[in-house]
Order: sequence, then structure tokens, then C-alpha cells
Amino acid sequence: MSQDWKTAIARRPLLAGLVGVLGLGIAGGLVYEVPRLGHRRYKRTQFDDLLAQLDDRESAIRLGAAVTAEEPGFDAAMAARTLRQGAGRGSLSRAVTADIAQEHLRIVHGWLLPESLALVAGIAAKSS
Amino acid sequence: MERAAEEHERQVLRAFLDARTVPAGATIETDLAIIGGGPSGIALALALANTPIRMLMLESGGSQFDATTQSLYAGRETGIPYIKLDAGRLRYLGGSSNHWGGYCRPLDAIDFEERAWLPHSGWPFGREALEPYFARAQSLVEAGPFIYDNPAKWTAALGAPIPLGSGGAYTTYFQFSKQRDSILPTHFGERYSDDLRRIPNLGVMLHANVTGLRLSTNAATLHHLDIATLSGRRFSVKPKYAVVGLGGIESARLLLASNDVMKPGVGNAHDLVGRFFADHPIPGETATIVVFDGNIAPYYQRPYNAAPDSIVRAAFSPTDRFKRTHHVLCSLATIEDEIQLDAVGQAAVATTAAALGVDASAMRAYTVGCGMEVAPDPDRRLRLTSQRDRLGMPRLTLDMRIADSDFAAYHTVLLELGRQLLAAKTGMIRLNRTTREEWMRVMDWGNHHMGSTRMHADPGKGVVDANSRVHGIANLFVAGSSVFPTYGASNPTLNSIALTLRLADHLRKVIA
Repeated sequence: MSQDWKTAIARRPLLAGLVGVLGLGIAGGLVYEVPRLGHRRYKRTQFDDLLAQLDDRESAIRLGAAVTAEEPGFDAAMAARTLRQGAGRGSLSRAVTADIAQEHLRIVHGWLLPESLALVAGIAAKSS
Repeated sequence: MERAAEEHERQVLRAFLDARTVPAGATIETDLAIIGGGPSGIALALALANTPIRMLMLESGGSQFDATTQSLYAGRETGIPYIKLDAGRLRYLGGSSNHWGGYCRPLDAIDFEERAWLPHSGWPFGREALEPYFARAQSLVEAGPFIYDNPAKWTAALGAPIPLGSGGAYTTYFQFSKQRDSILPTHFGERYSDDLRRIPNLGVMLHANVTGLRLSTNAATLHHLDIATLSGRRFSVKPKYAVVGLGGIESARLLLASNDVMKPGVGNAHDLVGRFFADHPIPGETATIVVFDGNIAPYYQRPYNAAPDSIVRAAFSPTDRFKRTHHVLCSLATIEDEIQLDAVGQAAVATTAAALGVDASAMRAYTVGCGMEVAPDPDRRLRLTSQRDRLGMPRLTLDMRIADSDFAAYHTVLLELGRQLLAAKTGMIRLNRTTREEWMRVMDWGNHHMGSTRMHADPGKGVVDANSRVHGIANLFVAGSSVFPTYGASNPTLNSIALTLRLADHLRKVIA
């Protein structure tokens, strides 16, 4: 048994390990990336603190399109300021709850919505 | 089919009297003439059965529908589109109960109140005056035990009502008149013919059209009634007392047309007869309701056999407190047909449910129907025309109206209902109608004719007094929903019968 042969034998598990690690990495990457391929990537905006609270941003954008269609002068920056400084202090969940209790509601395309939800949807539409 | 109807009519006439066989020019005397064989007239006769009061019920029709008799109802409608005057009611024994939907619900306490923000409102008594009569009225319409807003019996078995956050709307319940098993509803003529035949102090005369209320020369009492048949026979009935129970259109017509002694018509010294006519608007698809978890109990969408002897249906109504604080009228919103939402609707539901932290993956959406109350309006009015029917009676014209504020009131209630659904995180609402044109496009009517001979203690504000007696006429009364000064949103039949039973108690004392 030559020394070269011994070296080759020693490299085999090493290579196999490397291939395995690489394979796992690729698989992991695929698992992470493939579902994301179908999703829209959103450009970064100054409203991401608010928009990140939307579980379903595509639906919010569709709803927001109705908001901005009914209010052509919709100002996303002003809406964001209202949300950040309002009862929810930037928390959509708190803002929505407060809106319902205080009857701060808005009709959008006939739908009766908490005002804050209409605002954040409008921001989503403007930012898309 | 026609032969069967004729045979049925012959059988009925063997037991009842036929005005066509009364000698022309005859005068029939009786203690109490009941003018009209509809639910009110029949309820009154049943209530006064086996008393010393000799009664004669005068019904224009026979026991079956007849087109010629029905055509006596024809008139003219002006103003907003409305059901033709000869289409929304029926002129034969049992009256309009023959096409009744069977919906029953007592009026709310506030419906009787004088409200400063609602001109012309206020009954001369509160709901407590009718309370003793509701159970008997409920029995006459065969709607089972008087349960309504105590629904524990069926919600325990069929599921709770849709949770609402605290606020001005609540879930209320209709019960349903049912003639047999679950067949809706009680047709008073068919159901009570045998009972009427067995009443020893009652004669029921069919094909007898009362064409005039003839007063004494001093206009203080009713002297006699002119009767005419379509076969050309004319005679008189001379009652000690008479009750006009012809419904919310024809009662006014008879009073207005009886204008020989009182030129403006009987009971019309203050130009009130025929004014304040009302019906319940029932615009379709007024809103869309979404239930996030998709679960609604079966008693929402249709009349449902919910408990032994009880068919029920849920509706959303404003509380009396909300009506008072927001100056809104009553309305009863019902869940109707399941629908699919458009893209914006789906987005609204998904975004809202997510923000509320609830799962809407199984959500369902339904159209919302309703019955609305309208505000009293003196210009929504029945008037006589120069045209005459086959019996020589002047025909009517109806100027139908609805105010934008009536729609706005219901809109306010829907907003509150939507807010409460959001508060409870159970659902949401879309308001489908905004402009008058949108409301009118989906408008229909309940055929609940009310108000044209309104009740008020002050003769200057009402045609009849608190006992349903025509102001100024000692022995003439009006029964039925034509005396309602305000209307509520409840279907009038149960309430009208309760009021008639109260009148029966009064007549029992007065005539004795």
C-alpha cells in the first residue's frame, strides 16, 4: 500500500463531507428561496415600519388602490404621520382597535373599515 | 279548478249570508257592523263571540279571489314608483292575510313614544296597553309561544347568534304565522271560516260592499250603512255601532267617500283622513355582510323550524337607546343570499381580518335585506279622484313619497352594525347604497298599509281617539293598521290584531 493510496483514502470522507455540506447548503437555499420566487419583492420605503405590519401586503395594495382612487390627493407621508402619532403610536393593531372603539371608520368601495387600516392600505398602494 | 272554486263558494254561502240575495231596499239592523272580513274583522268577531252583541260582518268578496271584485281596488299611483293599488292587497274573506308572508314581531316600546325629533310621532298610549293582547294575537296568527327576543330555546340547539360588539344594534327575532305544520301563514278566511259559522251572535255576509257611512244630520252618530253588490242589489244596514276594518287604503277611501253630511268626509274635519299613509320599504341588497369564520346559525337566512311550534328568523335592529341618541327610525336587517366577493371585497376582508388577528380563510359573504320604518309624512297621501268604480265609489290616487332622511337613518344603523362586527372581530359590512337613485333602483314594498286614519287623543291631530273611535262620531270605530300614527319596522298584522283585541274589550263595555 503506497502513501498516495493512503492519502486518497483519507481524502474520500473529506470530499464526501464537503459535497454533503454543499448539497445541504444548496437544498437549504432552495427551500428558502423557491417560495420567495413567487412573491413580489418590495422596494424599501420610508414607511416600512408600518408596511411590515401587514400580513398580506398584496391584498392591502389592492384595497389601497381603492382608497387612493377615491381620494386622488392621498398623501402617504401624511397618512404615515397620522398612524405614527395616533392612538396606535405606530402599532396597526392598536390603532385599528382604537378606531373601532372611537368610531373612526372610513367607507372604501362601500366597505366599512377602521380609518387606520384604510390609511396603511393607501400607503401600501402608493408605495408599490 | 274553476268548478272546484265555485263549489267551494257554494258551500261557504250555504253557511254564510249572500248579500246578492238580500231584498233591494231592505234595512238590516244589528248591534255591531264589522266592515271588512280581513284579519282585524275576523279577530274582532272571534273576540266578541258568545256575547249578547249581535254582529254582522260585511265582506266585499266571497271566499275565493274574484277578479271583478278585486278590480274595485284599482286606483292611481303618483310620486315614487309604488305597487298598484289593486295588486298589494286582496279583496275576499281573509283579506290580505291571503297573501301574507307570516312575519310577526311586536312593535318596540319606543314606537309608541312621542319623540321631539320625529314630527307627528306618538301613540296615545304606550306598548304596555297592548301587552295583555299580544299572547292572544299570537295565538290567532298561530305563531306558537310568544318568545321573540328570548331565544335561548333555539340558540342552545342551533348555535348562538353572530357575536356583536357592544353598541346600538342587536339581534332580534321574527316568529311566523303558520296555518298547518310549517305551512306559512294563517289565511284568516280559510282558517277561521268554521269558527265564524259557529258563532251564534254573528252573521257573515259575503259580496256586501259598504259604499257609504251615512251619518245623522248633526254628524254626531253613524245612522246607517249603504250596501251594494256587483249584481246591482242595494240595501242598508243600520247598526248601533260599526267598526271599519278595511285596511290602510280602503278604510280611508270609505271615510272620504262618505261625504254627504260631512263634506270633507267622515272623520275628516281636520283634513287628516288619507294623509300619513305609510308602508315599509324593503330595498334589496342594501349591504353585504361578511362573517369571518363562515358560521351562521340556520335561523338567519330563512324562517327556520327552531323549536316545537316556533318558526323563527333573526334580524339586526337598532336598540331603542340607539334610536333615541342617533334620531333614527327602526329597521330590521336580514341576512339573505350567499354571494362571492369581487377583488376589492376579498382584499378588504383579508386585510381587515389580518389586522384584527383573525382567520378569514373560511369567510362567507351574504346580501343584507331589510324592512325600514319611514317617518310620518302628511303629504304621503290618499285622495279621492273623479273616477268611479262599478259601484259608484270614487277611486283613489296615492301620492307616494319617501324622504332621503329615511334612507339615511337606516344607513346609520348599518354603519353601527358594521362597527360592532369589527369590534367583535366576527365580520364586516359593505354598504351597497348611497344615493337616492341607488336606493330607489332596488326598492320594493312590504304591502303594509298604515297610517291613513291615524290615532291621536287630539281631534286636530288624529282621525280616531285612543279607543279607535272616530273623533266626533259616537258609534263609529276603525280597526287595523290604518290607525297606526307611527309604524315601527315590525310587520303590522300581529300588532294590528292585538290592537283589535283591545278594541273588542272596549266595545264589550261600551255596547253592554
